[in-house]
This record gives sequence, C-alpha cells and structure tokens, in this order.
Amino acid sequence: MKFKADEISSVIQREIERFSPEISKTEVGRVLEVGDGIARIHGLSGLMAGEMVVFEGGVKGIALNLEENSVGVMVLGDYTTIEEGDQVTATGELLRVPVGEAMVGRVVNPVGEPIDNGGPILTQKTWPLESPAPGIADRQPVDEPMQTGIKSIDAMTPIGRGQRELIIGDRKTGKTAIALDAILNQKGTGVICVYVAIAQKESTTASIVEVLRQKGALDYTIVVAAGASDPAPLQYIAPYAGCAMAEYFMYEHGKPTLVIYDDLSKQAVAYREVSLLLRRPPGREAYPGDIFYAHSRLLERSAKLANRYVIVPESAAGTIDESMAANGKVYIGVPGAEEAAHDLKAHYPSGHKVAKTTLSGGSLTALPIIETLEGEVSAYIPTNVISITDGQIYLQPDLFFAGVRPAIDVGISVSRVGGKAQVPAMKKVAGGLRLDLAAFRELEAFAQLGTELDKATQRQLDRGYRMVELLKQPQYQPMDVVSQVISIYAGTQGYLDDVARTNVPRFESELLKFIADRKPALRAALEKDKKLTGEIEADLKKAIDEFKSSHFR
Amino acid sequence: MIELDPELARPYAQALVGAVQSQGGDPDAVIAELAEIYRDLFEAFPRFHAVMGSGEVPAADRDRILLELLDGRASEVVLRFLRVLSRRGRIEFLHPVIREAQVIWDRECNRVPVTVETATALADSQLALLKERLAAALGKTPLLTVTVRPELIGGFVIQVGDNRFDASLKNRLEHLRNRLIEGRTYEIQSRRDQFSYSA
Repeated sequence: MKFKADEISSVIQREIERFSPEISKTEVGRVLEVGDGIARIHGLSGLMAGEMVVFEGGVKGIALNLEENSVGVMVLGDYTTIEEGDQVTATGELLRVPVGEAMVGRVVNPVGEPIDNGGPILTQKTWPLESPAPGIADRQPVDEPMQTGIKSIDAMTPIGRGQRELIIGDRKTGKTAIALDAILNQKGTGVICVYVAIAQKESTTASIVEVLRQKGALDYTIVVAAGASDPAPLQYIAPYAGCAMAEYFMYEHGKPTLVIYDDLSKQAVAYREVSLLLRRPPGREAYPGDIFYAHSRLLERSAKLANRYVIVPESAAGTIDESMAANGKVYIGVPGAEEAAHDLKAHYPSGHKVAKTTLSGGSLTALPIIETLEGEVSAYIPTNVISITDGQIYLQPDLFFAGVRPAIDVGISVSRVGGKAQVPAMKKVAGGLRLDLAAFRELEAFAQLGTELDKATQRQLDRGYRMVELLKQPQYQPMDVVSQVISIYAGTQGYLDDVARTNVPRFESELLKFIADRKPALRAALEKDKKLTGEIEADLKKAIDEFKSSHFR
Repeated sequence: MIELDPELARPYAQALVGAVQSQGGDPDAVIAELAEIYRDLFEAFPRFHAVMGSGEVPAADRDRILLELLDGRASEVVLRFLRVLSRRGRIEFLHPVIREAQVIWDRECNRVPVTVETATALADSQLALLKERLAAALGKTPLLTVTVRPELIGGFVIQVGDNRFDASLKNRLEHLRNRLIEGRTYEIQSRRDQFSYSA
C-alpha cells in the first residue's frame, strides 16, 4: 500500500490551519509502587471505581481500590515497563474490548489485541468489559436446544440456548474435550462460539486452536487466551472479555452464541492473587469476599433474550424490524406472543401474520469449566459455581480410566432447564435413560459380588452394558441429533441385547450408514419436525429389523 | 525510602499549626524554619537522623541532644515541637509532618500550590498576569512553582492538585500523531478490497 506524500501533508496542513490554542484537561497521578500486576497511585482523587487509567508508556489499568491517599490499580499488560514516579492519567471511561465480525476466526488476548500473527483486527466497534446482565423483562425461558453432538449429554443432560451448564471434574477427565466437541458441532448452525482459555499452557491453547482450524471451526469461533505466564489481571478479565465479545452478537445481531470458560477455577486463583496484592481481606481458602459475585455476575450475563414480535402484512419477508409493525406495537416475550396472536385474530382477520423481528431473541449459552481436586466438589469454588449454574456435567476419573469416554457420571449430572428445550424425538427415546443407567450402575456393583442373578436382573444388566457401550463416543466426532435418536432408540428398544458387547460400536456405525444410504426418506422425516410419530417409529423399527436380519453379522 | 503513612503525620501537623496560631505566631515562618532544620540537620547528617530515630538511644539522651543543638538557635515553639516528636519516637515523621502542615496551612489561607511548566522562561509581566488569571479562575491564591521544559516546544502545562491542564505544543502534536494513525487504519480498511483484487 502506498501513501501519497501530499495526502499526508494535506492532513497536516489542515491541522495547522485549524490550529487554535486548545487546553486539554486531564486528571493525573503518580506511581508510588508497582509490581506483580498491581500499582499503587498517588493522586487521581476524582477517579471512579472500575475506571480505566493509562500509564505513561500506554499500558492500561483498571482502578480497583480507592483509598484515602492512594488508588490500587490492576495493570493490564506489561507492568515491568512502569516505574515509580511515572505519570498516570485518568480516562473517564470503563475498559472496552473490540468486538465485531472481524474478531471471528482470530486468537486475541483479553484486551482484544491479536496474538495469532494475523495482522491487525479492523473493527471500530467496542463493547464494555463489564456490562449489566439483562433483566427479567428482557429474557424468556430457554426453549431451543444447544446440541453438543455428544450422545450422553444431548440425551441425558440436554443443554438449551441461554443456559449455563457447568462442566466439572478432576484434571485429565476430558472436560475440555467436551467443550471442544460442542464447538465443533455448531458448524453450520449460525452459532458464534467464543473459547476463553484462562491460565492454560500456551502449548495446550496452540493445539486447541490447531484442532479448531483443521476442523473448520475457526470460521465461527473467537479464541480469547490469557496464558499461564500472563499477569494475573489479564487472566482475571479474560472471561469478561470473552463474554463481551459474544454479547455483541447476541444483542446487536440476535444471534445464538456459545461461550466456554476454560477454566473458572484458575480465574478464581488469579483474582485471589490480585485481591491479596491489593491487601483486600482474605476469606475462605484465602479467596476474597466477592469471589462469588465475580462468578455470578459473569454467568448472569448468559441469557436467552426475549423474542420481539410485530404484526406484519403476509407478504413481508427478509429482514423484519420493529418499524414494520402494522399497528405500531411490539410484543415482547412469551406473553407478548400470546397477545400478538390475540390481536391478530381480533384486528386483522386476513392478510397479516405475527413475525419475530430479525434482531431479537439472541442467546448466550455458557459452559464454564471447573477443575476439582480429588473429586472434591464441596470445595469453595466448585460449590459456588454449582449453585450459580443451571446444572452440571460431572466427569469421573474412574469411568474415564475404565474406557467410558466421555466419562459422564449420570447419577449426579443434571440439567435444570435444558429438558424443556430438548428435541421431541430425543425426549421420547431418552426419557428414562438417565434413571435406568443410574440404576444399572448400582446393580453392576451388586453383581460384582458374584451372587446368582435372576433372569430379569441379568437382562437389565445386559441392556445396561450395551447402553454404556453405545454412549461411548470418540473425541472430535460430534453426532447430529437424528443419528443420536436412531442409535439411542436401537439401544433402549433392546435391538442390541443379542449383539456382543464388543460389536456395539460397529453395529451403531453400520446401522447409521445403512439408514443414511438406504432409508433417506426416514432420516428426512425425522429431520423435518424432529418428532417421533407412530408412523416414523414403525418405519424405524422396520428399518432396524431389516438391517439386523440381512446386513449385520 | 519507605513511604510513611500521612495518616499518622496529620494529627501532629494539625497540632503544630494550631499551637503556632494560638500563640499568635506565623505558621509560614515556623514551617519554613522546620524545613530548614530538616534540610540542614537531618538530611545533611543521615547518622544523626538514625540516632534520633533509634529506639536504642534513651529518650532522655535524645532530648538532651536536641536541647544542646538547638536551644537558642531555633525558635521556642519549633524546639518544643521537635522535643515532643522525639519523646513520642516519631522523629522520622518530621518530613511528612512538615509537608502535611504546609498543606493544612495552605488550605486555611485559601492558597493552592500550582506547578507551571513552560517551554521558555516567562517574563515577570507574564508571570504576574498568569498569577492574576489563575487567582480569578481558581478563587484561591496560587503558589506558583515554575519550571522550564524546552521539550514542550511551546505553550504551557499547569497542574493544580490532580488536575493537569495541557496547552503545550507537544500535546497538540501528540494528538495530531494519533489522528494520523487513526486515519491510516481507516485507509487500510477502506482499501482492503482493492488490496485483495491486486494480490
């Protein structure tokens, strides 16, 4: 690219012509001490809590402690360039991060600067790092599924768009693998994903980015990374930054988004470090008193925003916005939809319809991850986050090493709101699956004692073993919901009972291939409404019988 | 040096100003005298400072030293104040106390310290005018500290308390530079399409 010299000189000339004495007023202070990502500033007496300050070299900071004679500031960036006596300027602004379409596919640090060698990110839009969560009137109940592509989750602990589902477990139990599969499964669904890596090894983050890139998932994903060697303040703000980037798509574009916080226990540790350095009093496990608030205000920002409806002429298509309302009225949320239907019937007998505005109804689904020590879920941070989220997926090391992967402990994993958002067909086939599996686990322990078992019990055990086999799923192979329904239907209806346990994976893959190749109509019917009507169920039964009798050996 | 807590210095400073005022003395003179003693005695002889600040030396001895050194040379109120500080083992707070007393007395007299940085030295008439304008703007008597900083190129920078008013040419140029950089990013953005075609 070339810049013409006269172009630049004309800019300068314009500036000179317009020159008039102009005074800029700023509030300044001086650095008293600096270190470990924290600086104490003398002066800046008019500073507000949470306000952004700028150090002499351009490094930014956030005011956290306002004391009588000094201000405690969290330094976002390289604090080694700051010296005692340096001037600090107040900006009168809150910290904002860049957002927008240009961020998608990029790897950025928590202040939104690119760290992937991909050149500057060209976006003018910014979003506040901390913004209030939507209120009651702005939300509506979770009603759409957020498919993770993992059979055991979508069947037993389904997640809805706008939900917060905790993934919790010891180290090396496949927590990140679940989150990554969930991202991979969003391909082609229009969901914008944000993966926030907090205090992870740079090598781990690099390999995650590589997997996302290879599987084509970077096209709809933003990676926010605060490495293990980054200062604690950056690790602390990383989840808020990732949330802000997703919020932009939720509020401004009405899009569904998925944010992974990997992991919040490390963020809590980073916040503990910052708080202790700022001499805030330590509480339980030396965490500061507001650690619960730090997590609750972050996760509260996940939401399913209320749909907004307008009554428009039948012919309206494409982008629908509020100015197109025939009666100038906007109906909000579920009660709004009912009211709109009523008004439509009462005032517009024909030629009109109720339509959702294009930019409403966005959602932000959060999958926070918490690492436990030795399965200790009653530690401080795990209990906090369990109580904030709408359910948890608990991963067991024992299951993991027994080869059951994903190693989900169905007994204590729950989803408090996702059931309402589950696909009807899945709801039908997987209804009692969770309880059946939990019962099987108990029975299995009992059977190991070597007691003589009656026939019914033996059958229940055999079914259980096969279901466990069926729910195993390799990494990076998310499955679409129709295939999931077919597999689980085959399992729960006993079609696998006479198949050897080791043949279950082969049975499943061949069955799915058989139905995809030979029964496309059946798949399409399921795909259409995602309902398992009597007719489709009969077809499905017939197809599985045919497959078993003539194609599987 | 360790930054000592001004919280501790404040009551002593308040008491000093109060004592001088009740005796009809001039706090400015007393503060100046204390500052001189601090500079010529404590700063000039760090070992003396160490002895006076040490808990090892009995209070009576420290008191005697102060009396011997300063009796007759310092004014009565100053000597008495130093002896009080010494007896309380707070002599190391002398510097913060002086600073704090200055702040308290300035506030009481409706004066405010103002630092002025200019690119070239100001003429007396300019200084007088500046003082007059500042007094009118602030509603207080400004106590000017003027420094010359050629790197400002032109104009001046005035700091009152934490507020900094920058009317220097350097600041303007800095703004211009930022605007040019912004213009350039805009340029990159608007030419991105051309860019991909030519490549």
